Amino acid sequence: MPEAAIQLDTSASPAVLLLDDEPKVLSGLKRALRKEPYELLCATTAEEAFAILHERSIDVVISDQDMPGMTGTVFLAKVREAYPSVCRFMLTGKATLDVALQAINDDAVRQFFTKPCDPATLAQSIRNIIQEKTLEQALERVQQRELELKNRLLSHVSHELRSPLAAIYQFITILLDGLAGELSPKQREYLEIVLRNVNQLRSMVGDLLDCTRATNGKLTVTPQPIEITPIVVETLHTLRPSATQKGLDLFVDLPAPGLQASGLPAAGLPIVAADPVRLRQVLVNLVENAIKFTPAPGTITVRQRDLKDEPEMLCLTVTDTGRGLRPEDTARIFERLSQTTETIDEQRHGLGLGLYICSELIQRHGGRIWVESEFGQGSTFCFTLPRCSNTAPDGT
Amino acid sequence: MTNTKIMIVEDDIDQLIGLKIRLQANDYTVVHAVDAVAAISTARREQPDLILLDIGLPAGDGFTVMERLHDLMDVAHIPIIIVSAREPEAYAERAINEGAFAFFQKPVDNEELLEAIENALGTAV
Repeated sequence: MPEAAIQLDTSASPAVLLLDDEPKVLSGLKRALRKEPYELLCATTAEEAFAILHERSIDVVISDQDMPGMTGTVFLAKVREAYPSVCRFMLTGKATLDVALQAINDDAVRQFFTKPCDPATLAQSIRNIIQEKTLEQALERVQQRELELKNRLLSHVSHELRSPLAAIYQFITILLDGLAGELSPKQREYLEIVLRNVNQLRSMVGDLLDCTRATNGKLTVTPQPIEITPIVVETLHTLRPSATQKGLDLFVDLPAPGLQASGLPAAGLPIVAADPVRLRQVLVNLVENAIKFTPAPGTITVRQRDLKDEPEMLCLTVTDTGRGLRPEDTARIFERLSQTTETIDEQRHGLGLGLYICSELIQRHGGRIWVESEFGQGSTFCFTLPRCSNTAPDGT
Repeated sequence: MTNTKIMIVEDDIDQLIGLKIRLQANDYTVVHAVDAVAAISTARREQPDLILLDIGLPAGDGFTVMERLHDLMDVAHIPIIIVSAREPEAYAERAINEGAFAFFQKPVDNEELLEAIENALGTAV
């Protein structure tokens, strides 16, 4: 699709607001500026002016200084606060010249004109401002379009990468499953290396896709009432081999339904409204991160936490005995492409998108995610999910 | 389930071969077609027990194929599973509404697909 040139938006008519308590001044200016390519609106009091500003999109406001009720400087200060994009001019008599100069210095006013003012000069200044604004808006549109284009490109590329990756994965697993004949130990070993790397690629492409979906507002979750504990147990079970290989212990410390030693039934965790696939995705991300950043011997534990001021939410935590995070890293860790500044021995796998995606997924469930960490003391990542509303507080 | 025949309609040859090997390893007999036109003629000739159908095809798309198959008495009964690169959000509902048994987005998980095939065959008349 060929790219159209950015049009300067001349469709919306610019509008200028004149405020002066003297109707003669207003009508004089209105007459002088009647042929200008913008709409002129008039007000004699600050209240009238604000009413107009509230209803219409005004580009420039020109205010008298010396008015009963509210002076020009006070009025324009209020305009600046409420409508910061409106350009502010002041009309001033000789008596209030120093006020006007001060206003310029304070950046409260862009320009002032002494009365009686030359309409041609005023008109030119207004036209300059309007031109400036039009260009600013065009620039914003260009930037917006660039961003959209980049997002679409990223989305398209990650999508296209999936097919060849799928084919590679399929045939590697076909070989490893012995469907093309028996493998020698060395063949198996090398193929497993390939598989490991293909899985990393798949994971990265998956992350890229989720990331672009999140940016485009297309990341969806389908929550349903689920029991958390089995999902956590099963997910950690699949991650345990890689933890063990690194000399790390992986623990699940969650109440499980069943009978207690006393013979009384124990309640499991309350039912939550969550998308099981996405929940697994969040857990895998958090635990894999913990594995990556925790040296041996180390421990990673998944627990539940009671949040007294959020009883309608279930809170899970993933705690590691790793390096911990510095405050400056904690602040940005859920942003895209964030990676910590440490560069000791670790291999940089991944795109730095995992936590951003976790954050987006948890938010779409209506929950929160955050990290508690001290450098050198390990980290605890916490997230909340909404409990199902038809669950009684005692879990039944 | 020996001699259960599955037809794959897929224009990407590598995907086709890979899937064929997987299905044969699970004791299915596999036939294939690489475009929308061949899909119809092959289905009528081979009478498969199930069809795996891609959406993006030369000479017509998967939805056209499905519609045509449903119009032909000799093949209308065959359960169809859509296997497509396209996003489920846009296409899964339509696929089911138009009579597909299931929608899978590529790349498919082999286990999940095999399970869906078994389920679809279980419900075949």
